Amino acid sequence: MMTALTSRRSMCLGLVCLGIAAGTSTSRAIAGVRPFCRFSLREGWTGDGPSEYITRKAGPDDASGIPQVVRRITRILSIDQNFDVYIAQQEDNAFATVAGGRKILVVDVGFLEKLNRMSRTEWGAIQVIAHEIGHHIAGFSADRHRSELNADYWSGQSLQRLGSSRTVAASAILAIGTELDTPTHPNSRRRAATIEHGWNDASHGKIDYSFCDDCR
Amino acid sequence: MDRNLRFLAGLGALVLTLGPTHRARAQDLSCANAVGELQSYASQVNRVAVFESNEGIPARCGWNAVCQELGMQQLKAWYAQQAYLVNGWYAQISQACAASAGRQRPPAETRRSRDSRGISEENIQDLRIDDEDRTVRIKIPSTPQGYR
Repeated sequence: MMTALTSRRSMCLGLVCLGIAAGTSTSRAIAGVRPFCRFSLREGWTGDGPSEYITRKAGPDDASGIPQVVRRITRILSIDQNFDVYIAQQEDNAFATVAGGRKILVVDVGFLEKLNRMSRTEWGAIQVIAHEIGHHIAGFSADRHRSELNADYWSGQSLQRLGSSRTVAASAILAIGTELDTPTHPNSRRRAATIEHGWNDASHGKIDYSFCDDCR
Repeated sequence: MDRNLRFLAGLGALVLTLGPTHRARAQDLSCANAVGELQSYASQVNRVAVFESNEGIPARCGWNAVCQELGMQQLKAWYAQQAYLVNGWYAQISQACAASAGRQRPPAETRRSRDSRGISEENIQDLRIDDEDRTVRIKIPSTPQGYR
């Protein structure tokens, strides 16, 4: 009986995740239906972990423009990494993870658009994408604050090289960041300062590798 | 265990019956209707899966843990197959609608009354599966301030 209960608890409804909606009462799902189902930040595709409403894997010329932005950022940072980009909806989130040996970026395009409006600049969305790429560059530190600041630094590097102004580079974080530290993220002022640090270093042709666990 | 196997065979029959029929029908429907039909079908699948895991299998197996485990494995396999089929149909509909929308949709200027500032009901009919994404395109700004 325990075995059966355990296996049932781990089920996840894969169909829901594709946008082929089921009713809200169907809160369970069946394990093994992974392509567009639940995503664990630690383990990648899995039957457990946080549920993300992911609609599709983005092709190279996806209408969202995200893969194109990602390619541009990897080019200006001269990094040789390939990313799988997934488009999420109604998540108000973006995140980076590794699954099955693949470097993955999940982005809610609507969220980025909203962020652009809130920060009153189109660099807001670019900063978020660059931040997520920064996670892959810096590595996923066990210290979550450290990990976020590392990614912020690389987003500052990216935005300067892409042509943003310094103040605008940090505008997204200042628009949506928190005044106080949270368990997962440092406060917005500290994050903005780190983004500007990255921006300043890039403007002087420098890279501070203390913001990278995996670079050397 | 026999009961579960019979149930599995029943589910297989359901797939064979509903699957191709649904697919064929979807090709004849408008994009919006096709997605609606598919959503309805997916909801049916979900309802069956949830019912089976919560009530069907426990009712058939009672306290027999082996029977329950086997039933759940079969249900998972069936559900995985359904997800695969639905995802495939969804991809087909997406592609067909994306391809046909360009041909079917006249330029907005010619469709909209020039002095109308309200919502065009004609345009609502034209909404496609992933229009929400298509209306948003993230791009790198051309100016340091990035204001629109």
